[in-house]
Amino acid sequence: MTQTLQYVVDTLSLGSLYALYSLGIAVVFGIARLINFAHGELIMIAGFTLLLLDGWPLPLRLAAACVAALIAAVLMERLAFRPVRGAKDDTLLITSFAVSFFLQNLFIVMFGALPQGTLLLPALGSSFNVFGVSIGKLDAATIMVTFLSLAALTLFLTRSSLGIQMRASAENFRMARCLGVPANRVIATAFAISGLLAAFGAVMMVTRTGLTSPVMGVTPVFAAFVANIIGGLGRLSGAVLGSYLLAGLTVAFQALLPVGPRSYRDAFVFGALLLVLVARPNGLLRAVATEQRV
Amino acid sequence: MIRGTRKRAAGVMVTLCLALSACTMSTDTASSNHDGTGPITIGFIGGMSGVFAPYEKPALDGAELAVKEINAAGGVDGRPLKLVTEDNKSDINESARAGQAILDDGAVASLVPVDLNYGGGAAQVIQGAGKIAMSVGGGSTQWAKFGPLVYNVGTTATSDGAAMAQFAHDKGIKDAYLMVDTISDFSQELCDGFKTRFTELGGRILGSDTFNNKDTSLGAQITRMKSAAPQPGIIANCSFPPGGALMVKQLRDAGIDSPLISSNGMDGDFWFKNSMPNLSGVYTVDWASVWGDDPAPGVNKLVKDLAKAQGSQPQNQFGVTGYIAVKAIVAAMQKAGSTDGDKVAAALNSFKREDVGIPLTFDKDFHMDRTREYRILQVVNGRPKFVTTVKTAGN
Repeated sequence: MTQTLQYVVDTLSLGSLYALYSLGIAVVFGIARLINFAHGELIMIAGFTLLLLDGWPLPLRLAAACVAALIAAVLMERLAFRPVRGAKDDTLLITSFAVSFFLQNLFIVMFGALPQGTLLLPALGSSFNVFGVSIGKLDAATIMVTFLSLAALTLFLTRSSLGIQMRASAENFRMARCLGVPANRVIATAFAISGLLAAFGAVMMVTRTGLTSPVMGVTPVFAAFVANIIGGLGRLSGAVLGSYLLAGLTVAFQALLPVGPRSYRDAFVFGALLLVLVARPNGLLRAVATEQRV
Repeated sequence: MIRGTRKRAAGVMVTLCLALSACTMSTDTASSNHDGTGPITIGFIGGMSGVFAPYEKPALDGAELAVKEINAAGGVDGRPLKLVTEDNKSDINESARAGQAILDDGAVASLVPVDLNYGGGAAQVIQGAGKIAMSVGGGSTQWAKFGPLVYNVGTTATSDGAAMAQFAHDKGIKDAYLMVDTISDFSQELCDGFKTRFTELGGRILGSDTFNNKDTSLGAQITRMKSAAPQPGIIANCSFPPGGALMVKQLRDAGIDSPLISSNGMDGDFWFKNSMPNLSGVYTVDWASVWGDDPAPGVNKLVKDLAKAQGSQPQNQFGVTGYIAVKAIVAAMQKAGSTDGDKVAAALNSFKREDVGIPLTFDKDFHMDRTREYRILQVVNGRPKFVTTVKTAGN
């Protein structure tokens, strides 16, 4: 029983980490109809900020990572995606890959390709017991950061004028524009939010792994993409649901498969996710309409 | 007009990407080697980014030093040696293409990546053209019998695993837990070698688990370990960074303080010096210590030369293996009096503790070194240091 509860904690922790990554993808897709594969590089930029400011006071280091990722996200929208706004989906997708490869290679040229270590939040490197279940402080922090991010995002989208404009744009972008919602501002805000979420994800990832590298965003963005597709593309709740399902399946197959087939855990996880898609081709929660953005 | 601007923007973006990708690796175009008068071209295929960059980038530094030394000493029978390079980006799909590109550059032999899964394709292409492919060390046991023209300056993964087990046994450790990275055959064979030798020596395997080098959390694996073996005598970490490093960090964060032992995949301090500055209780099984305390004075001199050439402390032993791979090919060419693949292979097969920086032995049927004496390095308070040497049956 204790072991089962321990696996539940593992699932919540991993799912929360995935949710931090996938929310950033969902926010941008909801508004701009763009699956931003360069989101991983926002995570990487925040990670490198944490690395380069090693030794600075922690609050400054964390704030700088958030600011760097936020600025990078806004610049990414302004320089790379705004010029191709309204283009076909495949153009947007290829642009996001191009931005991703460009940034990865830029950082390889600037900082080298090797993973570089940095110590972040060492105080979270221990655990505490609740009814015999060992909970890592980092796991607890990851779950808390994810839920607080989700709560703050929900409040922003439901209580602020800009948030309501974003929701209106997500429902019907043409109509919202006709009613005076400024497209540039709304889309830039979505990117800024995705940048902040990428920074939160980077903080949790670097604390967990102790490593940064120019390709550190590739695995998170892949998990985020899968979680969004399974949950229902463009829906925040879908992204979170997809993240916990992906984490749940990963932990369950890791825990239940015998040692031989366990080597092929990911094949089982993605096989199960394919079955989900066969049953619900638009994801668990229906994906938002994929009409063109002007 | 707008469409034109967009096209230009996309064009600029693609050009920048290509230019930056190209900047990460410089590739020379070689002149012909076949006339017997021009430079002799040797290829180097490796990942300058991605998961194998921590090994193949230092190996390139070592190969460049060897070429520089050979040319300073007059080249190969009067002909200068030239190194052409190809970045496979640690991408399994790039392997065969990189092999063909090196042949197109005129290479008469080539160094190939450490891992069979990622370098085997290139090795097959080069061998198919009748030329020598020499892995810069490590990887699957299958390298040893991959074909008549394919060699590896390293030892087999199963032998590395056996050396890990031998050392654990010599330390009086009675039980072990295995953590196997599923990213390549190497990791699996490493733990197989450990398990076989450790049980032969009377040790007990308390449990084993798998993970993927790209995982960002090992919570489920740690839960299983804590329930099966809360503090095993030793944990065989059959992996390499970043996944292997992540495992060490998360095990320590979870309060598991058992000693960890790995192969040369975890050699060097780059993966822990900042993130776990006071790390202790981690052992690696290596072919050379790059910390100035190797029992062979020649290795210490080579490490010094490497440090001088690259302007920094070599990060792991792969600078040494890149160096000896070039030296071995050149020594065999001189022995054979030819750059012909079959003749060079015959010369390589005659290597019996041939001194190419460290002693190197091959034979006709087994193209990896079965006689090497392993170095055991221990990380103490964030600093690796030589502890002892270990020998195994070597297969």
